[in-house]
Amino acid sequence: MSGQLSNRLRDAREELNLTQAQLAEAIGVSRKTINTVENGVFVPSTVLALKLARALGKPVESLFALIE
Amino acid sequence: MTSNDMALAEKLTIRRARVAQILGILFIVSMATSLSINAGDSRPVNVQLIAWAVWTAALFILVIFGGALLRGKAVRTLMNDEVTAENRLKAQSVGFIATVLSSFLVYGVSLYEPVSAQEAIRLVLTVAVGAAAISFGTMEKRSLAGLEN
Repeated sequence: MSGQLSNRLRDAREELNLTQAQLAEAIGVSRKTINTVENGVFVPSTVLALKLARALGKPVESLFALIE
Repeated sequence: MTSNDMALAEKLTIRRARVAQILGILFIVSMATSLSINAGDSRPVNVQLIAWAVWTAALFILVIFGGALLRGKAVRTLMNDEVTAENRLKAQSVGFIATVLSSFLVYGVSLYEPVSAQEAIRLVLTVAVGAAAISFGTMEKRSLAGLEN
């Protein structure tokens, strides 16, 4: 499942100079969650993806994309 | 949810992963060395069986609820986020598969050797709960790998 989804979460976070801890705290999840999403180990739920997008000020489709 | 909650939750999550793996392995090893004991044999044996039952319950609760039941809600929520919930579900699947396989094993052995109900139950429960705990700890450790400093 995770192999079908690419994400630009790390790039988007680093563009804003946020650490994993800062992003995690902003949306109320653990650093582990951010880490596993960035590494493609874990596919986030829709709710979590939307929270990430809102925290980073980007549309969700610019963070996550299906691998064709 | 404060930075302190996050730091505490992370520390406990790392400890939980390690404990689940180590206790799961020790649990199965200790069972392998005491399979043939039965309740009522002697007082030390009864104590050993009670300890096994407590150990089983503790690991079961860890795999089903994620542990940290006495911590505050914020810490518990962080410790049981989406990733951990998924890891727990996968670990429960591993436990189910282990239950079926160990039951087949006990059934096969019982065709050639008498197996008491107590022995059969202890073996199946130990393999199931132990496998689930080891699997949960391993997946949590994998999820924690590569965290930024």
